[in-house]
Formats: sequence, structure tokens, C-alpha cells
Amino acid sequence: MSASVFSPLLAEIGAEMRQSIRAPEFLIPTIALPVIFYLMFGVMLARGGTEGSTYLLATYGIFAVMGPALFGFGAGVAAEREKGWLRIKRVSPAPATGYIVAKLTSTLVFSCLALMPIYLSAGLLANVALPTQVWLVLLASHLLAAIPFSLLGLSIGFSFGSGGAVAVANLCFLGLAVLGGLWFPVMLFPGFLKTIATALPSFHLAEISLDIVNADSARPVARHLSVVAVTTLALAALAVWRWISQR
Amino acid sequence: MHQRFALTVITTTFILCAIVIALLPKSVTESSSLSSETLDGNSWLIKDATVYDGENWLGVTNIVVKNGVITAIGKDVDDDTMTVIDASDKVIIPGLIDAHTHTYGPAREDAQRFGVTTMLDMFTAPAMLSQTRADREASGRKQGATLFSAGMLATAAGGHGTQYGIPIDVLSDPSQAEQWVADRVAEGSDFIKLVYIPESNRINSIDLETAKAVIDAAHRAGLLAVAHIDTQQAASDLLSVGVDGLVHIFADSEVTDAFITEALARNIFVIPTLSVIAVVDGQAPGKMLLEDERIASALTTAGSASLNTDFGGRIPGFELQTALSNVRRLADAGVPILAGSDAPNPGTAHGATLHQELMLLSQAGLSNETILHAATGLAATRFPIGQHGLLSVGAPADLLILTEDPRDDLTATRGIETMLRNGYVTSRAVPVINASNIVLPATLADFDNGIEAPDNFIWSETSDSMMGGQSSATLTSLAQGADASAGALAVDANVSADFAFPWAGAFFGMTTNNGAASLGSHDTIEFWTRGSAGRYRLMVFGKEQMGAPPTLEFDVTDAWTKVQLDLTALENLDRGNVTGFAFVTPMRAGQYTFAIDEIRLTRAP
Amino acid sequence: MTAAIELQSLVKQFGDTRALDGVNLSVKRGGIFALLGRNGAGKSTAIHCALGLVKPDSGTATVLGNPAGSIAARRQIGVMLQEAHLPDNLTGREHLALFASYFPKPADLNALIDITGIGDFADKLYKKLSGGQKRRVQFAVSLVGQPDLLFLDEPTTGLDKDAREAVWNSIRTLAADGRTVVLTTHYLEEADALADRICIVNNGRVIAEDNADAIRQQVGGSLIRCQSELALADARSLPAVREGQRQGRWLTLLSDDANATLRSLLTEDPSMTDLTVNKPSLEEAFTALTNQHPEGHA
Repeated sequence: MSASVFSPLLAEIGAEMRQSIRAPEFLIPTIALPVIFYLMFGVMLARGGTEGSTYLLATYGIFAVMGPALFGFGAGVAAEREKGWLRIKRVSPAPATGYIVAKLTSTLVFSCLALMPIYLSAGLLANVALPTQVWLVLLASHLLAAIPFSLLGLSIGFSFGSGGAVAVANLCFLGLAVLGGLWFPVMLFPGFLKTIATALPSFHLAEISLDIVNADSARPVARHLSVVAVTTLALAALAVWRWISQR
Repeated sequence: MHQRFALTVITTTFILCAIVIALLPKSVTESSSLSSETLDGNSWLIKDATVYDGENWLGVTNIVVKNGVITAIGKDVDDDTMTVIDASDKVIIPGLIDAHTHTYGPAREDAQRFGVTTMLDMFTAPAMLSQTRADREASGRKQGATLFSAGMLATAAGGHGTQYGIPIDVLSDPSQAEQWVADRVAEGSDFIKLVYIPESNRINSIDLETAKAVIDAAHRAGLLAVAHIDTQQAASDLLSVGVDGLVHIFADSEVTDAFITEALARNIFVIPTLSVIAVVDGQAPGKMLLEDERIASALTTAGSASLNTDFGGRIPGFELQTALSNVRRLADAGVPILAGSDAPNPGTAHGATLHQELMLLSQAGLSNETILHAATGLAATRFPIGQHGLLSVGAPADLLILTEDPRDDLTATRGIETMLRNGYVTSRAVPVINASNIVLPATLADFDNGIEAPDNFIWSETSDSMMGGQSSATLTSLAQGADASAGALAVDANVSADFAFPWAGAFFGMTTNNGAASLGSHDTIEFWTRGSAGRYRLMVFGKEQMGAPPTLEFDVTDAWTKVQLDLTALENLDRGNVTGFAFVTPMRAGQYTFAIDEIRLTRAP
Repeated sequence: MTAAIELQSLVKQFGDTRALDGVNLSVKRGGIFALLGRNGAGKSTAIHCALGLVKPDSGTATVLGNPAGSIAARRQIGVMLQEAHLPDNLTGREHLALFASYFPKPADLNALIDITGIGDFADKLYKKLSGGQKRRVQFAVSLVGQPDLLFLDEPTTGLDKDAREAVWNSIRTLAADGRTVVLTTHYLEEADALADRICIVNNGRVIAEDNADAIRQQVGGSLIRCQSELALADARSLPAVREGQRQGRWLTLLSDDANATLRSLLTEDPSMTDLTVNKPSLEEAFTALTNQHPEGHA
């Protein structure tokens, strides 16, 4: 074993990903579901122009990173906490941040694995063509969306038992996706649902990605970015509070 | 165990993402490839550029352009509703000002391709002024540089300026000055230029009293008076009578301390035009420019040809070394120096030569910062040109995005990645002349059914009136033609002596403005003619032709005669880009009547 | 040399329950130390304070000279917690490898697998293991850091007789290497068999701390067993009786003076039979000691 500082962190990351890969109940909904949905709504139903496919590429990308973040963190942390694994780690010399960083890295890796089939479907089946740097910035925007969702997952994991956490994570997963306009464009929503959408981080994250692919006219990106920043900070504070109070 | 697994998975994921991104279909980049013509509109947020505003280096700065006008400039200005031009690692300078040009033909278009967005013209046909003045205020896309001009120059009969064929309102007496200046104001001159070369033994000049009268009249009319001089003595004379600037540096002698003191006291500026002095001194500086791909790629064939010419030998009294040394001493003393090319003199080309002038100013010892000021903001402090040459709020968004910093390497001004003119991304490409699509038909005209021309061509009158002369011509159809044919073209021409090279006649040209046709395999033009006796001329016009058109002469008599002219005898003819033929009278003044018929292109056996 | 564990005046209140009521305990380095106590007696809370999992309301906990829960302390201890599981989807070997990455000088994993006898199932996923196999993997994990001090919370719960014997041997070997082992157990037999010193916690206080014989000695007296019809209350009021219990016809009395008690007993119930008189076992001593300090609050 190398004495590198990264060695414990890398080991933690490796162990985390190894566990996730062995959990089909985690893999299938997080990786297969988003691309299946995108194929149905973004490719098959959006024929006759790339506009719809491009729009849904931006929003389903956000949907795709929500799964690993909410379930990896929410359900995973709750189960591991309940089983006492977190107590074992706390009495070991493992750094507390390593656990979070490993889970976040794992979330980003699985987010990539969930995103790539969607990108391929968009590009090769729906003929969505974007400049190279737009593809890259889009990927970055989708991956950055994993951070607020991971913090939300963390709060869920620290707040509920393993059964309750799965239920709450599912509720958040579906609620943020549908009401945030990730499945269907917000502009199709009736007025009161639009109001709800603007209160959800998923909506603002999707708007940022939509601005990147420029699927619609000018968006107040600065405002969306500040809403996302504030939401992320609030979720971070929530996660820290839940972490401290569960100890 | 876990470490290796982690690295493997992360690396694999990274590679997977890279492969997927590589496989994905790509559309054309919109904002990063700045030179692309896909950029449209004239409103932008230009971000993170290192900006020179024409006076100061601002560091990394954002510029907001709305509807072609700079509306904000500063480190923190931002507007997320606007299309962004990312200019990080780029340098932005104002569009360049060429402070000494003469504007004919495509001069403004040519200059603009080299980033010259403003030209200070030191003499051109007054007819040019009203047209360019209207263009100056227009807010749309610009085809060429914005022109400010002296219009006609003040010179003596037979003096410098009269040799170009443009009718000149010459001066012989100080009493004419007031009216002369009033006429220039009426024509739309932006400033007054006079020629004062009393020591020349080759050419006439106005005297000092007349020069003073013109300068005084200009000042009374609220205009600047600048002067062409050739010697230190001439320059000193004009200083004493209140000239505002010299549009050449004298190169006959080393500048004296007394002159420098007087120049500072009188607060004059100098546009040295070292480039043209270098040509006069036989240095052939234009050839060096041709070796720079950044210059060569924006030159027309005519521009390249012009850079390769010279005055046919050195002219005494113009020593480049003396000129350089005089410029350095004047600049060191604090006399403002402006950059001007004096294009299109031999050995120069519009736009291209200004970049050479910058190098010559550098050779004279001026710092790169001073030279950039000389080619931008300094002109705005001396000439009535508003905010041209400055990047400030309210100024037209005429700016150059450079890939390198001209403070480090002055030739960076040639590396223009993007040029904005009035806010529009403006092409620097040489217009492509599609020569091959039209071939001149064998029969140009037989006039059997009136004054007819083949498709794409038209007959029209031509005379020196288009250059300000007084001659005129009228075309009519004759019932009986040459060689027992059904009709012919008749030309009634009245040739006036008011123009240096008078002409009148019939012009066979293209219906489109920028079209050209090929001679194909033909090498001879033949036609029948009769009329007032004399030696007539056939002029052949070409697409990028500059200066006098290639001309063949033919004799006309009272009887129908068949004329055959060998076009291969015309050295400067671009056979693929012919735009027309002019059949014109002898140069002598008088009334002429002549007819032409059965005009054909053939091939010599 | 600093003590292995030094607990000073630990007080911890959970709601209405005073889990620790001024615990003072000093565990010397080397040997095996057993912590005994009924459920809720405070032994778990005391251990958790020593591990840094619980922050006491007052008092200090020091482990190997370092504050409890500090990284320096955690690097030198091995812990096997009760009711704390490792993640399901890793094998025992993978768990050991992960833990090895936390320590500057981890044990050789193959040797550790041999010593702890988990070789047969080290490459099976944790979730596929039996309860006893899981305990043994946890035990192995607690040893990865080559700890100077080992906390074992009910280490042999759920193990069969052979496996328990194997763990006992490992613990003895570790102690013989000069490491300190602190265990909690509800098998008094285990404490008796392993521990050099025993500490009994009751009601949030340490009520006895000594070796097994001394603990037995501390209780003293004799244990009188017989079949008798005498009422328990009457039996308890016999001379010198400290404690009495009845199971069916069997009566058990702990007496400070067997002769005096027997005389009265025979007087009160001449019909009693099957009389035996013994010195008390550790278990009986434990029961006796903890009953002397009844749990008032629970």
C-alpha cells in the first residue's frame, strides 16, 4: 500500500464504487431508467426536428444525475448508518470527509454512466448536434447538478431510517423531476405548477443546462445560478445539521 | 486493491466520456471561432480582453456594444442578455487611422481589410465627398473605411496635384483664397490641404502670401489647414504663417533645433509618411510587406502589383535616413507624430502600407505604445473626426481583436482575428472575382436592331464628366451600317479642354457592378468605323485595374474602314477580368461625330 | 507509562436516565480487562466515551495518553462493536484492505486472515456470511491496525463452542504479545476464563474492580442450597442471610455465617432436604454484588 495521502481516499472511493456496482437494485433505476425515459420522450416522441430532443437532452441530463445522488447518498447513508457502519468508521482513523468525498466521486462516476447513453441517444438517434465545447459545458452543468442533489440525499440519509430514506428519496426523485420540468417542459404546465417549479432546484439547474444548449430564447442565467448557489448552501447547512444531530 | 479499482473505474469513465463526446455530432461553433462569418448582429458583450482604448491600456476589460455603438467599457461591466465574444488572451485596439491617403476606386474597401477603419484623405475628387459623408453617418455594415477628406487641394497652376487628370481650382493670388476656401466648404471638405513647394525647380507652387491667405481663410471657416512640403525651409515658412500640420516630413536636411522649438511653440503635428519617402529613396519597402502572409492574404492582385512598383528611380532630396532621424528628434521633443501611408503612391497599397508605416516609425525610434497612439487616438485629438480611433462610450464599435500584443511585437496589428465595423463582424477576405462564368461572345454588337448588346452587357455614353470634366457624348442608332449591314452606332461627342486627359465616346460594359468577363480564346478585336477624322482610342477596362486603362489607338476617316486591333499588345490587360471597352475621341477639344459597327472578337490565324 | 484507559469522573445524562454517575476507571497496559454489568448499567456508555462515540457531560476520557476519539487515539486502537455491521457488498478481504488503508502500519492481511481463521470465507460477500462468520470478520477488521489496545464488545456472541474457543485463543495470544484487551461480555464464564482484571459497573458507577478471585472474595460468605417449604421472606430474615432466592422447591441463600444460618434454618424447617453448602461462583458473586446496588432509576 502506498503511503500517499490519496491512498485512503482512493481506497474509500474504490470500495464505495465496488459496492455500488454489486447492487443491481441501485444500478438499474439510476442508469437504465433515465436513458429509457429519454428514448421514449426525447427520441421517439420528439420526431420531426431536433428542438424537442435538444430541450429534453438538457432536462433528462439533470434527471440522470438525480438518481445516483439521491439514492447513493439518501438510501445508502441511511442503511449504513442504521447498520452501525458509520460508528465503526468513526472509531477508526478514517477521515470523516473521505466517506463523503468517496460517495460524491462515486455519484459523479455513475452520473457519467447514466448521462453517456442519453448523450449518445440524443446525438446519434435524434441528430442533436452541438459544438464540442457546448457538449463539454453541458456535461459539466449536469455533473455540477449532482452536488445539490447529493447534499439533499445526505440530509435524507442522516434523517431517516433505511426504509424511510428510500421512500423519501423516491418522493424527492419523482417530485423534483416532474414538478421541476425535467420530464415535460415547464411551459406546458398550468400556472400554479409553474410557480411550484420555480421553487425547485431541479428547475433552475435545468434552465442553466437549457441555456447552454440554447434550446430556447434568452434565460436569466445569472438569476438561476444564484438560486442554485443559495439552494446548495442551504442544503449543505441542512446536511451538516442533520449529520451533527444524528451522532 | 481498492485504490487500483478506483483509478481504473475513474479513468475508464473519463475515457468513455471522451469517446462519447468525440462520437457526438458537432455543429459549427458559434462564439469561439471569432473570425467566422456566422457571427451576426451589431450588439455584443466582449469579455476579458486586454484593451487599448486609443489612449490608454486598460488591462483586462469588458466592452458592451449595442447597435454598433460602445455603450459601456470597464472591468466590471456585464450584461448577461447579450451575446458574448470571449476575448480572453486577446488584445483589442481601435480600428486604425491612416492619416494620409488619396481615395480612388476601391481604396476604402482595400484599407478596411487591413484594419484601417478611418482614412484622412489629403486630396481626392470633390465628387467623392458627398457620397462618403453620407456613408460616414450610416449605422449599417460598412464596405469600406470611413473617410474624412480635404477634397480638392490648394496648389498653383501646373503645380503638384494637377498632374492626375482631376480638374483643379488652382490659385495664383492671395485674394482668391477666401472664395477658394468657401468653395471647399460648399463641396464638403473636412479640412484644407495646401501644397507649398517653392524651392522646387520642376514644378510650380503657390507663394507664401497665398499659402498664408489660404491658411487664414481656413481658420476663419473653422477648418484645419495642413500642408504638403518638401524641404525644411518650406516647412519653416509655413510654420511662420500658422499651418496646423505637415503631411510629410522633410528629408532634405537634418531638422534644426530652431525648427523644433518653433514647431512646439506653434503646436503643430507631423504625418511623416515615411513609407512613401522610403519608396522615393529607392528602398522598395513594399516588397517586404508581400512576404508577410498576414498582409499578402488580404491584398488584391492590384494591391500586390502596386506594392511592387516604384517612382522609376530615386529622387534627390528625399533621404530616408534623414527622414527617420528628423521624425525621431521631433517625436523626442514632443511634436505629435501621426501615422499615414500616402497610399496609393507607387510602392504602396491602401491599408497594407499603414502597417509598414508603423514599422518605419519604430525604425525611427518611437516606442510601440507611441506608435499605436499615432495610428489611433492621437488623430482624434487633431482632426475633427469625433471618436474615431478611440474606444470610449459613444464611439462607433470599430475595433480589432488581435491574437498577439502589439506592445511586444508591432506586427501584431497585422494579426487581426476579428474586426468589428460599426459593431458588425466584418470580413477581411479579398472579394472573389468570378471570372470564368461569362465569356465575351464573338459578336459584341452589329446594331442591326438598334443599340443592342449581348446578355449581361450594355452600351452607354462615357466622358470625363464622371471625373469632373466638361465633355459629353450622345449615342444614337444609324439606319445604315458598315459593309452593307442594317444599322450602326453613332456617337456625337463634345470634348472640352477643361480636363487634363479629356475623353468622350461610347462604353460597352457589364450590366452588373462587380461583374467581369473573359476574353476566352479571342485575341483580336475588329470593327468598322467612320467619322470626324482623327486618332481615336479603344480603352479596355478590367476588374481590378488601377490607374489609366490599357489603350489602343486607331485612325478614323470619313469612309467606313475595318479596324483590327491586337489585344495581346496590351501588357496590363487581365484577359479573364474584362469589364468593358470604351471607344473614345482623340484628346483634343472639339466636336466629334463617329460611328462604329460590326464589333467582333476574333482569333488571329 | 500512561494507562491504557483512564476515565475520570465521567458523567453522562440521557434524558431522565443518568447513564454514568461519576465513573472512575484506570486500565493498566497489558492483559485482559473485562467490563461486566447488566444491560443499562452504563458499561456501554463508558466504553463509548472511551471510544469517542459519546461525549461525556463532564469528566475526561483518555486512551493511551490521548484524548478519547482523537485521531492519535483512534490510530492505536482496534474496535469490535456490538450491533455494528460492515457493508454487505464487500468481502471480508475487501473490508480488511479498506481498513488497512486507514492505518500507517497495517497488519499483513494474509497472515491476519490465517490467525483469525476466516480463510474459508474471506472472499465471500459479507451479506452471505452466517452471524458467527460476520463476528469473526469484524474481529479480524478490529486487528488490521495492529492496535495496542483492543475493545471487544461481546466478542463471542453468536459463536459456536469451537469458534468461541478460537477467538479466546486469539485474545490470549494478543494479550501475550503485550497488547491490552478490554472486553465486555455477558458470559461471566468468558470473563472468568480470560480476564486478568474485572470491573463491575452498576447504576452508572464502578462498584468493584479486581481479579476474579478477589471479586469472589469480596462477596465472601457461603452459598446454601436446599429443598425447603420455608417462605422466602422468612428465609431472608434468618440470621446472617445476605440474599435469598427461590426456584420452585429449591431455596438458595447467601450467608455471611453458614453455621448460624444453618442452625436457624433447621429449626424453622426441619423437613428440608438435599442440603449443600459452597463458596459462590463469579456469577453468583456478580449477582450478589449488583443486587446490593439495586438499579434505582430504570
